[in-house]
Amino acid sequence: MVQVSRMVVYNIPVHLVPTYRGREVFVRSQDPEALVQALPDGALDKLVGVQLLSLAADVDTLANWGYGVPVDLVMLSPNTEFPLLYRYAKLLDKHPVRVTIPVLPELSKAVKVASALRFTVKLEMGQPEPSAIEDLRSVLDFYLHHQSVSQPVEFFHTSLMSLYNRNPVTLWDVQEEDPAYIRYVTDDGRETMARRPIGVRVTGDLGCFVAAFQQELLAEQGECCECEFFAYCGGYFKWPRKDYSCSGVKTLFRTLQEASAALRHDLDAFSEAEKGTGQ
Amino acid sequence: MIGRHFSLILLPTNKCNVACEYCFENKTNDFMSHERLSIVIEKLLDHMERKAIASMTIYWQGGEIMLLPPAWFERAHELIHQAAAARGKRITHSLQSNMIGYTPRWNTIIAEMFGNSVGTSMDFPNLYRKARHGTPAQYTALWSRNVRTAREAGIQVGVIAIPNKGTLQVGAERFYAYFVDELGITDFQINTSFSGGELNDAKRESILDLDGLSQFCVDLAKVWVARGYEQGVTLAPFEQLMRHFTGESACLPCIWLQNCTDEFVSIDARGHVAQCDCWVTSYPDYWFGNIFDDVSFTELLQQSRARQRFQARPEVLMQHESCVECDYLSICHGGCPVRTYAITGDFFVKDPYCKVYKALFSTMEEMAARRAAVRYRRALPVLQGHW
Repeated sequence: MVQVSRMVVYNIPVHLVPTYRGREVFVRSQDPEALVQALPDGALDKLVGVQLLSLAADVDTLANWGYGVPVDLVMLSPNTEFPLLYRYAKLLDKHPVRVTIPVLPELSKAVKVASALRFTVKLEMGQPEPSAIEDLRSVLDFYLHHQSVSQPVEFFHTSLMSLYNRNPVTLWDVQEEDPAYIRYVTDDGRETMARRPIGVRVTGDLGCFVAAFQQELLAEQGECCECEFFAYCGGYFKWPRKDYSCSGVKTLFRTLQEASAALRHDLDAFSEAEKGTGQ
Repeated sequence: MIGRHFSLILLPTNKCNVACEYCFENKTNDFMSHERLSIVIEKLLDHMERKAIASMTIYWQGGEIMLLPPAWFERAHELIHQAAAARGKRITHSLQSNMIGYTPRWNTIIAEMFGNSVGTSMDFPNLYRKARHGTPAQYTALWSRNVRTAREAGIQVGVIAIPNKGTLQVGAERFYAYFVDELGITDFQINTSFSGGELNDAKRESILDLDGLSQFCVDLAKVWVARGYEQGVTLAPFEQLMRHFTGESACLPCIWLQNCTDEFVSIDARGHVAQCDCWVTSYPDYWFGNIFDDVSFTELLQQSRARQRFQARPEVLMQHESCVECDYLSICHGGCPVRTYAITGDFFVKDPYCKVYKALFSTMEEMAARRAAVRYRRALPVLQGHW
């Protein structure tokens, strides 16, 4: 998860870099060369990260630029693009690299390759179809139990930690979609939410969007009212379609809850054992 | 090759003083002069500047490296140090020799340039290593004497051993005892054979039955864990795998890198550039170019179609092989290109030692888990790292 300050971060297309100078930005482009040209090494102080929208691009340019700047690789088609991740492995010497993977068929291959290459992963959740829940369960199991996983897979990682610490962080934050803190700026310069479902236009005060939406959900006495995971989800899965059934995603949260309990138990047992041996 | 560090396998001589039957190198009488070495170093430093690479390790090999005299290395060390210092770069050195030509005259340069350490090779039993017109037994005797002399002078000697058909017959216990108990070696590694270059009978028979080799590796891992692990004996790649599976940072060998083109290249005495020492000495079709050509090293790498094949290999394996289904993808990535090509004649298939690697990985994973459980040191990987 991006360590955002409580300033607003703007996800902007590369051609709007001059317009947003002085503000915290996440800059996106299909072309790494365009990013490097727009963001010379001396002008990176407000840069939160860059987002590469095409995996077919020549990556060497980014490898020789902006030491330490986070790079987010955005996948469109995980079932065909996962081999391309190998091209980006060399970036890790100079940048933290995250792969954003949409919840589509065969996403588990993409997660597996990304993890094997030690990239962090962010699953682009939205409102997953019931048919995708099994895939997500399989990815969650991989994340929790496979020896090769050494980096976070979001949202699982932050939700697990927040369940473990009993310190709720909502998915709006984990998924970097709360417009109070992250604004997506369209190619024509319009500020909106990061998630942009087709046919849905957000109006009103973006700074209050999540709080207002949560109030609405609770006032309507729907599924969220009774949900044990509301504090960790924040109604994320109810947008844009409020009638979305959360039965599938709740199983993911339940597994995370069980894992956090198991983790707590193991670490407590370990602490006790350490005390017992005087270490 | 754009990280903060890269490695060069440098062969300043293509000449050798022995005639090992299974050697993959096509030897020549070429050697690199200091003038030519200076050109190589300057071009590499240009590349490091262009790619913001801070440091480089040069792995000095041959041919046989000790056919160049110690005085040649003293001068080479000086000129490399001066050139690197002038550019604010750091270059370190590592030495790999067959030790047949070693005398105490080497001690000073080994201490000053190579950190008082040298890597060498020996098999047990020795079937294929021999001097011209000599026998493997004579070779072993000479090698053993020289290694003993070097160790008595305080030099740390690491040994690479390639299991052969005799190794499988004597078994892991005897193999381990030979190196550790008889020779006193505390730093050694096993490697797998590959029949690079022109085929001959020795190369053919050096490719072992995979089941037998797997069993040997598993047995050797158990012997090492019982007798050497945490008792001062480093056995690669077992040690690194144990570290990996117990959650420590581990530097796994090059055969299991995600893509070796990101990490190193090799240059021979004539200036030919290729992926590693085997490619540069055995397969001219896979040369990336020649460093003495009128082109920068950066451009040479960028323009090489042979190198593009290396870069593409893992992608192709992910598409067409079963690697993506494998539990050990993260520590293997389809294995070594040169083993694959030398044994199968095909570049875009997974390493033919896949079965051996899997047996070794699962054994080490099991043993690491057992040790971790004993120590209550189980922690979920999720506790590590944040983006």
